[in-house]
Amino acid sequence: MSERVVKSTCKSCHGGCRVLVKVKSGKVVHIEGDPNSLTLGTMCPKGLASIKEVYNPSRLKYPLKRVGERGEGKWKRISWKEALDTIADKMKEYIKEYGPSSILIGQGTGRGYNRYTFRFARSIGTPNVLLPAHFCYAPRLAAFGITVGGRLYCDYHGWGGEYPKTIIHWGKQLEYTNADGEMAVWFLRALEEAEHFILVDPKATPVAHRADLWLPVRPGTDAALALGMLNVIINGEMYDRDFVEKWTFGFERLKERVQEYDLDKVSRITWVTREKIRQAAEWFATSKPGCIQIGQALEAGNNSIQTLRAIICLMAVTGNIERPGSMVNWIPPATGEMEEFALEVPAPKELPIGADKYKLLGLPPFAMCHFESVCDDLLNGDKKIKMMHLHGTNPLLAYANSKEVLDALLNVEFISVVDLYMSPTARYADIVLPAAHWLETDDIYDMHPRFFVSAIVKAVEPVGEALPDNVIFNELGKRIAPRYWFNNVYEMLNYQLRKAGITWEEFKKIGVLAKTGKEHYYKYKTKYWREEGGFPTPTGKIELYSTILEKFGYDPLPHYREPNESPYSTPDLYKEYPLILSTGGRVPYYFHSQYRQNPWLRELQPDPVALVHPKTAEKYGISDGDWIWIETPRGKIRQKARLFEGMDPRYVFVQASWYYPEKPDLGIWESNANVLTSNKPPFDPCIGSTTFRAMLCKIYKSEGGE
Amino acid sequence: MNLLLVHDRNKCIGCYACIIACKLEHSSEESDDPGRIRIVHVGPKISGAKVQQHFKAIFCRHCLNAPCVKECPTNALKKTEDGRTVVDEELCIGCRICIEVCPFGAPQLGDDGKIRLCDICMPRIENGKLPACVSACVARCLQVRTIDELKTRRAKSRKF
Repeated sequence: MSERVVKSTCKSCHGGCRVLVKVKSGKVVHIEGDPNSLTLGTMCPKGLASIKEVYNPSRLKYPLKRVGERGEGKWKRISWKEALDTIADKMKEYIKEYGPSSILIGQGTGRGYNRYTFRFARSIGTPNVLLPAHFCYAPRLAAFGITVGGRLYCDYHGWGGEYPKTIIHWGKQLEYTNADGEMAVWFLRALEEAEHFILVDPKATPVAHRADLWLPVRPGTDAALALGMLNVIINGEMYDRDFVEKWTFGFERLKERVQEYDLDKVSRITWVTREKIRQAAEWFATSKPGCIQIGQALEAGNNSIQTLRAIICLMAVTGNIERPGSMVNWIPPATGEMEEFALEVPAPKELPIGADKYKLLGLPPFAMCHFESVCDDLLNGDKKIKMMHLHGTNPLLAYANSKEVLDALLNVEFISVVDLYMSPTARYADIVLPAAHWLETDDIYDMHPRFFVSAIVKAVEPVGEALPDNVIFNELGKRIAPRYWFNNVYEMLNYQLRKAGITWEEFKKIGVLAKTGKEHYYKYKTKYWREEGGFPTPTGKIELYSTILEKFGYDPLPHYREPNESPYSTPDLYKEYPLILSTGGRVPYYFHSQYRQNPWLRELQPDPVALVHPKTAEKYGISDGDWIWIETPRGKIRQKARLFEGMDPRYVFVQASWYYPEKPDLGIWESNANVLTSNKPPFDPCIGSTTFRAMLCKIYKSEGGE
Repeated sequence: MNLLLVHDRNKCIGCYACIIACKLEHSSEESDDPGRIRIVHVGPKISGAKVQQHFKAIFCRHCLNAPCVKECPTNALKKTEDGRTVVDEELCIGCRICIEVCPFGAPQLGDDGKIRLCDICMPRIENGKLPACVSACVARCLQVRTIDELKTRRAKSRKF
């Protein structure tokens, strides 16, 4: 029997670990990490269980057309030609009648195909690209963009001869999530070299026992904590005077602002002791180099941009910028920035929906719409969006207030969905297209890590008639805007590799193009960004005082804002809902709503789990393993209680994105945390982030058990 | 060869990649292996400002005086010359006495009713590779040691 090993890139999250895939007689029989790679052969359970994804019996195999009512689950198999022609014809119809902005192109967390989504949307002329990004990653890109000119990453690599001496993990479980540019293996290696590891998280994470200092911050109050640390560092003259004078803008005004955040006040807001805040600030300012790992938790609130800005100011005033072992903006490999592929198509002049109000959503390079505003318009407005093409995304679980999301989706005239499975959202579509798994795909992976691109190499032919994401985009693109699309996907891949001077066939063999040397550091002292040195911002410096926010009419300096629901902002509500709820926290075997149908992963944790402190559990008569109701003013869900001592007794954590693929109706209202979250303003004023990490709830035992 | 699998409970992050790596290594197209390792999160407990927790790994320790070998009614469990405990699947009747008498509860029952034990991935080791779980381990908390190494010094964790 023929047996071969294919070197590819795992896309089970968007981390991009290199893998060796063993194929026997046309079937994947084994997967393991490639020991000779940037991720050293390490893997997570999601990637290893891919073998149960690619051959999962419930995968979609053929294009389907709805024949019953929406959500009824009655489908008819159709050909790809009919499916793509129908979608393209619909798009053309709506473009003709209402203009291209009546079409929304959506994707989920992305698996390195973001550039196709954006190119496709631009090529058909719609500004309305939907990503769950305004509460995940876009605030990071925007806050770093306006403040520093580009995203900074933690330098765990040691390429400059130094590892971080102080590592702060802030609302992030990097040990489980390789998703946003840094990877677990790099962090865990650097952790062994670090002198101080500081954890800022409301709950004890799996590395909490290795932290030298744990700041169990009250959910949603991180900006106050960062401003308090800035107060300690600036008033204590612990800042990097030289760096601040030469390379930052607005220090005196920041200094004035942080006077409002003395430690007494900050400690009252954050529920963290003064001593801990002072110690964290001192270590970060004096034990250098240091880095701060920013997590998505900070973006999922009503003050995401200013929270991130406060933390970026901490990096800047301590001079932890672009030096080895601190925060660095990576240089892309020889291919150049792969996003160019999207950006070379002119952007529509019209703003995406919601970007008039949440102005950072309209910022180049990647303007995107605000889903809560889209839904509000669908439910109470002009119904501007007539058609949605949703590629690998599950809005019914991903966005706040799922029940209203469904009502809004039902007001969309035509929905096409591309997915591996008949997901909760796909059930309400008019046409469903079967996506190929990454093991069945040829593509260039360029997600967050920036300093490398890597080849995703087809190991086996797709099951049924499934097609890779890039092929689907290209085939649809050809039908509507042929000048921007290619005869076939390999021409498209060659085109994207042209700057590196190689073809897809050559890249496939090389596997990875990476920059892993000293060239990454101190770029602001060179001509990299500006002829005279400096950062790519309006002032050429790191803008502690943001001239861009000032221009937009937002507060140019970081500030704290109390969560929409809290013991202090809504004391009456707090009487009825006396616990603080977060829908955050990560588990290593699921990725958002993915993998509940993977038998190997599901058996690791069959039921959704809510963390409840033993003291709170006792008060409500809840035992470990009991099913409990978690209720907010929006609704209630059931999860299984796990008694968890590693947090304040006033906090409750539920797991997000749960549904039950095994149930006929997929059980989307039973345990889905977004039944609990609010899709109503106030959002983050700059970028429209919704709140997922700081609400009020009550809990009680679910009698009758299962 | 006298090899042992060892686990650093403080460095472990409880990602469960070892379980899936083990399943994948030992499964075939026809049947799924139960996986021969389990990870249990102990804690967290808060003591003062410190968090106390660890991740305990449960897998066959290839005991020198193995109670499972002594109690196995069909002699399906045996010791090899190099000190490993192995299962003769022909003889195993799936009575689960080994699970009962094992102080760790390490033996796992397969879908076919036969017991599975960690084999330290000997076929991989013979091919110059690390055991599947060790290879995947992102925290570098699993490693293979010879008994002599363990005798002469405490097992230090594997470096990256």
